[in-house]
Amino acid sequence: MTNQARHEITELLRAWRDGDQEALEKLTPRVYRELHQAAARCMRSERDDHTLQTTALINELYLRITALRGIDWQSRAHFFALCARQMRRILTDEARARQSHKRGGGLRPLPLDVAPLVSSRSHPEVLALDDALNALEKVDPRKSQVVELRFFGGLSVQETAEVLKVSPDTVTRDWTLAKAWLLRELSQGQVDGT
Amino acid sequence: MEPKRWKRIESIFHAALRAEEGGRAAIVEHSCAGDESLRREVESLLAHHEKAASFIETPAFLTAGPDHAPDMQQQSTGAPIPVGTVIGQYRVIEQIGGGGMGVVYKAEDNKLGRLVALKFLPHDVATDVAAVERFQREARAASALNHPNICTIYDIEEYSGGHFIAMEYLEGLTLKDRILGRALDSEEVAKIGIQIAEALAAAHSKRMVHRDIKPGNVVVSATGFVKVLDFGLAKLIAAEGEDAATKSITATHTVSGTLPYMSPEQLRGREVDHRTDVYALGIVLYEMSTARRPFISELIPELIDEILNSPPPPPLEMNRKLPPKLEEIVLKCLEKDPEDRYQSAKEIAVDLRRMTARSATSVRLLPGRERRWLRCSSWRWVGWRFVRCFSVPAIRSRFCRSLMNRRMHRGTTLVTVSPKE
Repeated sequence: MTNQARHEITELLRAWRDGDQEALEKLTPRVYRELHQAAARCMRSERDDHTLQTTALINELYLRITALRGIDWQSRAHFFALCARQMRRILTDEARARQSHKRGGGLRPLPLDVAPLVSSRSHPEVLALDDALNALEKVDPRKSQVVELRFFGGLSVQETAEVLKVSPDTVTRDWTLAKAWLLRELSQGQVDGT
Repeated sequence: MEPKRWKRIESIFHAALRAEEGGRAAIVEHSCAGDESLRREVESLLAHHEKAASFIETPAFLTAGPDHAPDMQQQSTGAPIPVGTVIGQYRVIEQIGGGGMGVVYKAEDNKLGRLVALKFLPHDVATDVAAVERFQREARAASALNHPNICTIYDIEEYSGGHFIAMEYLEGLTLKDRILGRALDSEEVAKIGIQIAEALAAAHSKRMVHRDIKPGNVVVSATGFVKVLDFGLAKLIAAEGEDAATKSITATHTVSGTLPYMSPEQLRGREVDHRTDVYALGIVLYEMSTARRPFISELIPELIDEILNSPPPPPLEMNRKLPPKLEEIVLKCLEKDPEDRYQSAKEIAVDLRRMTARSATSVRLLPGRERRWLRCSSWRWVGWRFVRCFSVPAIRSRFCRSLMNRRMHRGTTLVTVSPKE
């Protein structure tokens, strides 16, 4: 990331913190692009495309965040939330691309291996989780967000609570129920063969 | 679903979880008050809650190591092999573990009458050619390593379309269980550290890097004998002059491992060489010496920040009893720049030995003229005065001998590790 890009992201984040919603709209694609490019860059030098590349992603995430030092925790929490959302998108986009490649879609698989959740398994699993999360969002948006922050963003209970402005107990309860709900949703999918 | 109904499901679900397991059914029954579909909904969620203990607990982008294997991984390993199943010459006794790369069973080798561990490739990856290749590569790589401190691989075989590795069955605790929040004394740290370093030196001499050294991958027997396990992530370091085709198989610039033990260069996705193992051994030595890892942030990006940028807190601050030399060794392993670390695992073993030999040497001086060392510790001095002034020479020499033996024993067991249990 160039200094300018880093600076831009920092500025946009400040603006977003100060209530500028447009800043968020500008920030989102930048974060996505940065994360995605980082993953792709990392894979270009990698021939064994079956190896996990997930830590490269975290590392890139980290690099984004070091650009934000000196920014208050609130903004950082929001930045993590944003990264969590983008990470989810990257992983599902990747899974979709691989799947369509498998079906003869002719798409070259993106040079990015997905999460351990699917590291040794099928890409449909990430997609299934994504679908299940979307379904959960319809039932209970906050629970879906808790999962997004914790699973895709790697946030702790405390941090998730900060982002969502609820108590850590609430996050723990949401997390417990959301996990049971999602696992049920996923196993039903398996039974149905979907 | 109606928000009101969902709220009700939620509150009954949590009320049931707060109750003792035996009382849950009654709570659900009572709270649902004859609403059958509500009861079914809550019960199915509770049933899935039971299975969801580690489900998605590992963040999506965290590398899966055996420490982090989520439930879904377990579930996808295929049906467990029933006790008593005979596979070729092996009879399965029990399941003893499941890691990132497969489930492990204890079994008996009927031909040779010994216990073995069988590590199975997960069913759903058995069809993945690359995963099978990686599994076989692990077996071949590890079987080429013939060292008393490395778990021996006996065989790679097939079973109902899948593959498994037969390996040495080890009794003992993993180092992770051995530490469990309690620092080991420095002699034990050295004793275990030397053996891990020797194992790594042997692997490095065959151009293999382990890349996932952590307490969970080290087994310590009751007698203190160490075995390093799981060369699952090991890759051959490309030899100089190898052609491109070979290099593609042996490429080393991949990022995988277990996050808190990963070296800065590993995290950066850079070329990884044997000095990454030196670093990880440094973390393990640190953890043995202080009962904690140097970098402990719970937030992943911050943990990465610490690994990349923060100096490790001096181990002596965590454990005042630590010999300064041990701290020096640990910190040298943990240098951020591989160039500043020990350049070989052998050097770590040498320094650890030297450290322990030093105390043994000072004991050897005991019967000598000066005995100046006694003054460094008041109780020893008092003891010595007592022996000198009030005891007959026979008792005195026996006292010296026993003191010396004890010290010598402590010192020398560190270097005379028996290759047999």
